[in-house]
Amino acid sequence: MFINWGLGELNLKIVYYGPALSGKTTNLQYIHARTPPHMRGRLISLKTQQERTLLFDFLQLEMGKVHNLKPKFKLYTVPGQVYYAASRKLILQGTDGVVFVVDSQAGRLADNQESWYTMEQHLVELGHDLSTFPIIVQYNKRDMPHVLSVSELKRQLAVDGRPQFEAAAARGAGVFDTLKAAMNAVIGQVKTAIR
Amino acid sequence: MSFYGSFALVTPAGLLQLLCQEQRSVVITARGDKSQACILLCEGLIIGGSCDAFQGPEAIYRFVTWRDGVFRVDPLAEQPTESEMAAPVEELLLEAARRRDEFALM
Ligand SMILES: Nc1nc2c(ncn2[C@@H]2O[C@H](COP(=O)(O)OP(=O)(O)OP(=O)(O)O)[C@@H](O)[C@H]2O)c(=O)[nH]1
Ligand SMILES: [Mg+2]
Repeated sequence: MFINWGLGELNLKIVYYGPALSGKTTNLQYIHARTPPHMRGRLISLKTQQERTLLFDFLQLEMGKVHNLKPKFKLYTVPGQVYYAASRKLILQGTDGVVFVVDSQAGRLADNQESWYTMEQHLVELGHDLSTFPIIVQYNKRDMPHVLSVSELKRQLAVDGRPQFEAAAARGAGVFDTLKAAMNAVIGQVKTAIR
Repeated sequence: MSFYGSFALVTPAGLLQLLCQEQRSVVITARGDKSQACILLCEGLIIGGSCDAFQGPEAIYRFVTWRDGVFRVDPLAEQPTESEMAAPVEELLLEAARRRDEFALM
């Protein structure tokens, strides 16, 4: 969170986290394509020639008002490929909430678990309390063959009480439900901060 | 070694957030038009403040509305054993923003 007093802005950060190729960038691309231009900035993507995220994607959205401050959501994705661990931790710094994008395909279970585990580790190292920190879970690629059932994924990832959504981000299904839940959770945290 | 500056270049809120994000333990002394303030930060939390006649959170709410003045940042000499508050800067700034609204309504 960063409060720009001069401009009256409340800057909030949401990071899309998850294993390689789970669809993090696809979520941001869909949000960018379907949000009216006056409410969003440019989608900035730092990527390899194979369209893999190199450092992050970035998109800014504007919303109503909170305490007379204008919330601006900064959405980031992390690079999912294993060897970018330092970048992922850096991007998680100062984040107010996380969307964890699960690849629902059966063969990706171990990658999801590994990614979830390292995310929790980074968040704890950054001083967050996992019991209150907003993490939204998105089960993506539901349109693919050979996906695990949601109840199986839930059990394997031990995501217990967190908000969860099914999605097929490539065609946009579930993308905005996930985003809205993340924004609400983050704003909810801001409101409890001042009580 | 100190760090000096002017609120023409960074707002009081921006300065507080920068120093807190870096988890600094410092004293900010500031002089405004007809005002004076002194804010204590310890490991990224605001642990004390005065702004003219006001102390504690109230001092911070006043300080962040300054539009001009100069400041100086020095290392916190020693960690006080007891502090008047220990608040994250975001919490104080959100409350200050809420007060600014209510004041605007009056
Ligand atoms: N069928 C299907 N394909 C998807 C879905 N979401 C993403 N994809 C595809 O999966 C591939 C990887 O998607 P990206 O969004 O680039 O994945 P990423 O998580 O950003 O990957 P990294 O940047 O390497 O971490 C692309 O070819 C997408 O079109 C989905 O819901 N269904
Ligand atoms: Mg990507």
